[in-house]
Amino acid sequence: MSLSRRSLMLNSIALLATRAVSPAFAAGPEPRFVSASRNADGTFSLIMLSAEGRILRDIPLSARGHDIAIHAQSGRAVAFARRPGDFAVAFETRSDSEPIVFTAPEGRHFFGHGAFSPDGHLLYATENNIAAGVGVVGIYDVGGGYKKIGEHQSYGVGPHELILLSDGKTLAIANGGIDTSPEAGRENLNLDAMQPSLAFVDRETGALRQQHVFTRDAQRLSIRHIAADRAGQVWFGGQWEGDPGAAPGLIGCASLDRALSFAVPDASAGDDLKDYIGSVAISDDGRTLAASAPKAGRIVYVDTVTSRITACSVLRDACGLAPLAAETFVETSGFGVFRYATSGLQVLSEVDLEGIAFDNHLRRLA
Amino acid sequence: MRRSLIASALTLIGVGSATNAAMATPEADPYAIVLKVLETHIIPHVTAFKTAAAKLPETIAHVCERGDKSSRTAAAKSFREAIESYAAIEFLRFGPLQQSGLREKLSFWPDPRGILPRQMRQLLTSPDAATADVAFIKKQSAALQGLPALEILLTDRNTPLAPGPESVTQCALAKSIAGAIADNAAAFDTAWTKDGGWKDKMLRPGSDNDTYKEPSEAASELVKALLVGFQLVADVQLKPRLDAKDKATGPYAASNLTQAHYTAFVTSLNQFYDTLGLELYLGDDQLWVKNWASGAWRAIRASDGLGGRVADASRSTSPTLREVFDKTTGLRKLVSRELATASHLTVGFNELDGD
Repeated sequence: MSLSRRSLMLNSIALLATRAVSPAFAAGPEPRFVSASRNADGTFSLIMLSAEGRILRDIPLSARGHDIAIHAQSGRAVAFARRPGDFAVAFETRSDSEPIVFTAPEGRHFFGHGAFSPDGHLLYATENNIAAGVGVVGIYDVGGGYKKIGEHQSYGVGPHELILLSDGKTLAIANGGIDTSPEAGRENLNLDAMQPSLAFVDRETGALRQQHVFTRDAQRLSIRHIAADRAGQVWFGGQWEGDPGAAPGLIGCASLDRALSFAVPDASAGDDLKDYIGSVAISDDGRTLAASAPKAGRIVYVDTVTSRITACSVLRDACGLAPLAAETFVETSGFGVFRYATSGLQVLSEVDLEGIAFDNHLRRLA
Repeated sequence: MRRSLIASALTLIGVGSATNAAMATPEADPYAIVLKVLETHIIPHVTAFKTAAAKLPETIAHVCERGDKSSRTAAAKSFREAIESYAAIEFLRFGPLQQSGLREKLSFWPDPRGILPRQMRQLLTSPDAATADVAFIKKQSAALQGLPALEILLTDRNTPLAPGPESVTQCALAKSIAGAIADNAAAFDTAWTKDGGWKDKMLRPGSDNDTYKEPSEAASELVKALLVGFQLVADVQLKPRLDAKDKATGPYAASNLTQAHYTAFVTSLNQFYDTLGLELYLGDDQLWVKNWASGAWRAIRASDGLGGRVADASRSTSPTLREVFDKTTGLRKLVSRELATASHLTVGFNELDGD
């Protein structure tokens, strides 16, 4: 990378990041991506970015955010507090109207993820029933000011990411299996008895359509982040809570009619992921899964047809991933890097947002 | 990278004072930092815990054989020493403490759902409990193998540990749990100190090392442990007690050792901070960091972790729990943002605490 070009980019981005950015909506470019972030002054925000990685809008958060559920047709979005936070922020991605803050009800907290119904009228969020220590899916009425109107079981403990499958009816839920309670901070309370699972739940009735669990040797693999490919397979990235380096695998898939299986590692692709996957994303053509491993500073790419790890790139504290096109992803890091890269290990462009730490997840808006 | 760019720019435009300051500030040597922390902090504390835990089986056995005041005092003393020495290594949440679920086995806390008391009640009614041995305990859940499990039996006023038929089951379990703690503490020490153990792993980074490829990775692991220590103090020990609605008690409250646990924890964490020596790499314009950190440590160590002040505090006023919480989280930010950066041992935002 040319030093002068990189320095120029760094200076211009840093300048943009320090000024009020919301007027950009009036005439400037449309935001293309959104992520939670930690800012240079230690505060937390949601930042909306242009295709080039410029910050166009900054929505301050009272504490660290995690993921953002997007309803593409309406431009509606909801960002969730990080576990065990209890706030969520609803905002419009196509205007700078005032965000709406709502909270999980008494006795519940969010796990950081959610998904809209196809018509955008309902929002589903993974939550903890704190007293019982079991997972639930909260159902919120979007038109009713995000009032909670119901709850489904998540069929497990510690549900993390949930996604709506392409049938528009089925929620895939990553039950991480780890029990936590706000009065114990973020401490894992049940590593001895973890039972992670991938559950498929009818979003209308709450009925369990299918549930996959690991065999005993993989019971300490917390399924956390998921993404679906075009064949209906749900790919997961896990976090290993057992002996360091002893994970049977961290990345794999399952579907309604296929049990959990692991991607096949390739020695040349670098399999040392330090027991931790931070997020996953599927390319637009459904053919490639990208999985970030921030502790190892790597991003691995998996062929979703052959289930083989095909390549591994290096990016320190890599975490956020958003698909852009076939084989191309936008990748962000906790050190402020925003880059376009391919599963063929080409870095197409890279900018560095001085002082910005991108949080776990990056979402594409359009 | 960013630092070197900034440094280059300053040099180019001829900022003489900045150049002089840079020359005066030593460069961190990751290998030397790791070696120093291992030899002067981690290994001595790991071995101290093993030594303290090794006394438990004998002192518990004496209580069960004699039941007199002197044997009870000795058992309480050995239990306190085990708690304090465990508190001193509790934040080393990488490597050996992660292996075989050792952390949960040594100290199953916090336990907001009351799993341990429930399991202990069940175990006490089990027909096998009266003949329990160490092997039997090691087949039980992690909660039943550690210091909090032993605490329940040591502080049971209805059926105190003593000679006689009423306490046969309690004594069998207490002796077995004490043995399991001693075994696990010894295994922890071995995992650190054996040839090819975690100490060697940290001192011999390289392409054939499955955990640390570079000396800086091993040194960053230590910075991470320090940050985890702050998080444990703030979020697990203090925060639950800041909320008036919350009835959470501190660790080892039944044996009145919450304060001792807190003091041992933050004393060790402070020593770990000093041994890492990250302040050495601050520039002349960062004197405020040292001053702020020094004041924060004074407040943290003056507190007894319960809202009061320890007897030998270096300040005269009692810091409130809110102040200690704020100072601890502030110190965590300072290490993450200033000290780690100055020493080139930065830890990623997501790497440290992703979800």
